[in-house]
Amino acid sequence: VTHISKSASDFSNNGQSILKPLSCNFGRACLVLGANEGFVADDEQHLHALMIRAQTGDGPATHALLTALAPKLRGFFRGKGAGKEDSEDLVQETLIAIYTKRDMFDSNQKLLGWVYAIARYRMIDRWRHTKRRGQEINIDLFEQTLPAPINESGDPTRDIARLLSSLPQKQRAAIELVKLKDMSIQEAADATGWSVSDVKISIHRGLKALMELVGDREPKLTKETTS
Amino acid sequence: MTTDDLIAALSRAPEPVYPNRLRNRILLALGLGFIVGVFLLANTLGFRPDIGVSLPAVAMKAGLSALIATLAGGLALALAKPVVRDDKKVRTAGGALVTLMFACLAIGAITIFSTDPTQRFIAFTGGGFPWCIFIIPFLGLPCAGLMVWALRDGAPTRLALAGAGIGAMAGGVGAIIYAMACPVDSVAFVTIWYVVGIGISSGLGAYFGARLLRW
Repeated sequence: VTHISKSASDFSNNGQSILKPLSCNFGRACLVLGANEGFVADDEQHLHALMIRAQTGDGPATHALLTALAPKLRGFFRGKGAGKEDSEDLVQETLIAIYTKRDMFDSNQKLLGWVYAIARYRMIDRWRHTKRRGQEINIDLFEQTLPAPINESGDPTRDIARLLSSLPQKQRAAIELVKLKDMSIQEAADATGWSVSDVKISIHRGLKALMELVGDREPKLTKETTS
Repeated sequence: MTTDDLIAALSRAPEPVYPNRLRNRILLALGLGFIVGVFLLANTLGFRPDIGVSLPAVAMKAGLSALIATLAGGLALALAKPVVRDDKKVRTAGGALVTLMFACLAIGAITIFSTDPTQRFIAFTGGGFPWCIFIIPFLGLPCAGLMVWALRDGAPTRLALAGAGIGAMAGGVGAIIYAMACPVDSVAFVTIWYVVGIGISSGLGAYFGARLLRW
């Protein structure tokens, strides 16, 4: 939340209320407030501005944007009937897609429309994978037999780490050092002996490959129900 | 890994984006697709022998095809990005494209009916089977392949529609190229069969696009 407070305060200069966009971080409160037209408009404007900054390579803005979108996406997938596990996987896939495809956002588009278009696409893509394998997922049944613990910030033990392990070693190392161990690109370059641009390219390629893996991957649920 | 960890990982040291990458790739697909298509034509059918004399007719046919390709290209560009159901750009480009194609067919029909009945069949078929309906998609194939490459780098969310846009654009490019070989200059022939060829190309694009454009 500190990240978001910081970035939200940057918008105080355009005459918008700071409090309204901030309140969207409190999960469910957002749904209640969402009924208010003014809030929806502010929310869109706030997130839109964050995206524009994320496109310039602004880390805190990217963080604030993805953090604000996660509960919305969770609500979206749950609303479409996905189980907790499934919906958390979809939330993560969608967040990765939003990040890797952020250059596909036009500043004259509506951000939330863009986000939900991606969310819908990822959901359809997942259905397609399940259907092609001729397996049915009974979400209701699954929920009854394996109730997942409710955790507002998202369930742990998701399999991004497993996906990461299937990347080429260089890409994995670059992503781990910079994205997970919080090194700067320069530090990662020093630590590995690669050039700065080499590290950057490896991260970029790695994230792209990660995106493709997410697309090709068999849904986690299917694995569990068949094993 | 929790979702919060993922967000933290993604937002650490993000790269700035290059805003024109998609547009540049589409322009490359257009240019290179055209050049490869012309080579394809030169090595298969060859140019029409009287291309120098009949340049106005070639230009008219190529011009109509280019207009269709441009509108279809606009549609493909709009659909390369995540779009909402009733996206304005998609509706405008798609509406203009469909209107133009139906207008062409209408012009063709009117021309046929205003032709002397004994000449109608010749004006309609160009004196044989209109093979151009298959040749046009074939000559657009290089462009279509490159367009798929360009859009896969984007984030299309309506794959069949995006594929249809690619197909129509590639068909338009194929028709520009075919205009350099096609010996028939009758208005009815061009407005009907060229448009049917582009339509077939668009249909193929929708079918394959839904499969090839996944990301």
